Amino acid sequence: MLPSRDLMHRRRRLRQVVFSDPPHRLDDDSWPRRAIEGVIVDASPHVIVLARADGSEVRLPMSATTSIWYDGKAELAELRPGRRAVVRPTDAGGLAAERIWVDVARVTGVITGRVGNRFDVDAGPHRGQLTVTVPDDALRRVQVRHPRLEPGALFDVIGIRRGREILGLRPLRSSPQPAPHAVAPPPRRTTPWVLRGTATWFEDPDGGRGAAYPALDPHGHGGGCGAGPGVRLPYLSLGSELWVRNECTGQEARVPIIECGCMAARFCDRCVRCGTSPRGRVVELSRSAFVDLGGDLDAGCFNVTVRVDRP
Amino acid sequence: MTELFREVQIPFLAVVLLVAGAMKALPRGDGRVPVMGRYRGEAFTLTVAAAEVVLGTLLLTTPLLVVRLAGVVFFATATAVVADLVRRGSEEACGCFGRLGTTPVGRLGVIRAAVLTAMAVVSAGVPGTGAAILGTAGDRSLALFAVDCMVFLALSPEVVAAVARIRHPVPCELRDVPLEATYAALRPSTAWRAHAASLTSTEPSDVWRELCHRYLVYPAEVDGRSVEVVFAVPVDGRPSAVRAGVAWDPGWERQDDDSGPQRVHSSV
Repeated sequence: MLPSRDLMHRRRRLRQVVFSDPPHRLDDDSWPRRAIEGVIVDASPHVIVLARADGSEVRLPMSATTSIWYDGKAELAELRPGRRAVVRPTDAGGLAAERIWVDVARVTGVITGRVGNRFDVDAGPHRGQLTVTVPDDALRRVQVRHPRLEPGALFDVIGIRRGREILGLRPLRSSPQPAPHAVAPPPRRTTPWVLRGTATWFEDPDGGRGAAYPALDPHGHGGGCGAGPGVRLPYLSLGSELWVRNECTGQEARVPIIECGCMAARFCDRCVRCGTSPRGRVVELSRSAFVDLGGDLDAGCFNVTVRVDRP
Repeated sequence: MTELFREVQIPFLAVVLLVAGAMKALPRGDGRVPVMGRYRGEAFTLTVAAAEVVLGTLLLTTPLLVVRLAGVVFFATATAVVADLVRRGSEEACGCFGRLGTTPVGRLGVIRAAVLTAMAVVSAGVPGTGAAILGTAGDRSLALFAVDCMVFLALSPEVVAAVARIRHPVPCELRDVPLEATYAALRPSTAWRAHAASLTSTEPSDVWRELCHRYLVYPAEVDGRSVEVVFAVPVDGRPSAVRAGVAWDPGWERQDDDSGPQRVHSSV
């Protein structure tokens, strides 16, 4: 299977052969902002230096308004060399840091085992088994949203990564209200599908910008993972494109599908970031894509409108 | 009238049992539909089917009270098992009518089983055999039989689901369509016939779906050049709507002569 971006371009090109839809490019500048991920090399009150995965170094100016997250609002002292940081630049288009998340991690899945405060979590076929430790002082907070911390129960926490260990600190299941994934079909077959619901984020090990979508075609090379018939979302495939709009900030971008979001299909909660989302989790965005679209990683979700264009 | 009503239940229950037994015994494409989620074994399904056929036949041929009581016990047991499935929130089909329905069992299924049990109870003391009752049936008996059938169908989750599907059809974007259906629509299409000769493989190199179309890409050769033929097959299976196009290597900026099909080039 081709890398997701190449796959998206290839399938778009082949689709245009049949339908001759107007060509459009997914240029880098179609993103509202570019989140920067990397390992902290150096940090001073005025500048942070990150080493990116491709080996390059980025220097980002910081100001007094730069906000730092490390298990809550943190000080400059938490920007220690060796820690991983995700930086959202300012709106102005420059490279000044607006928000910095340090060693942020998220564990979303089904609990498969528990020994004391250590939880084994099945994060789905793509993300595998994860182990997360919930410290005693955070356990009560987590139990507010996850009262049944036992095998078989859903689990969604945000925390920090310490070496190979993940500390789960805060629950991210926003609202206990049940929310269906089902969507009403559009009135005419010529109008695009519009899905309104919740967008969450996941950690893509390659740091890619893309989305995990629950209803991928399970046949052929669609990439489906058996989200089940309960998810009434239109069928798409890996490499399909979604037009994603953050309803809380108004930012929007065209996002390729890079993974099957089978875990999103299992959660029936709503996002209450800016009003209550009309439906449950319709899309999971990779960490960079989520930040690009104005999402706050520590909040975990935003209300989203996803449009799927017809050929 | 009451006596007539009780009499009609005997052949009706016999027919229900015979149909249920036959449908359980007949395999579907991928095997027999198992009876009750937790009893997955085929041997169990066949045993239940055999019991139903035997009981249905005996109801038609003998007036013995023990057969009638066996019918009551059978339907009461079925009611209890279906009610247990519903109570546990199971989304599995009960398989009560084998291949006729794989709709998840619900309250309607419990009501249907309970109604059948009640029919077996009220008709337990009827003297004649089912066949004899059918043989002497008049218009009123046939009308009552028809009413029984209509009540039975109205209480069948499979029928209710089918009616709901007809009234509110699932849009093609939401329909899970197997690859076999796509191939069945592709092969008889004009687009396939037009490009079949140029294909160099019978297996597609890429298959994916977006909304109502499934795309199949086949390697092919046109004018000695390797190309890819793309078929867009609507998932609702209309061969006439299959479309096709030839994807040339995007690296070729221009075609050297006018021979061959028109090149479709994407700038991406």
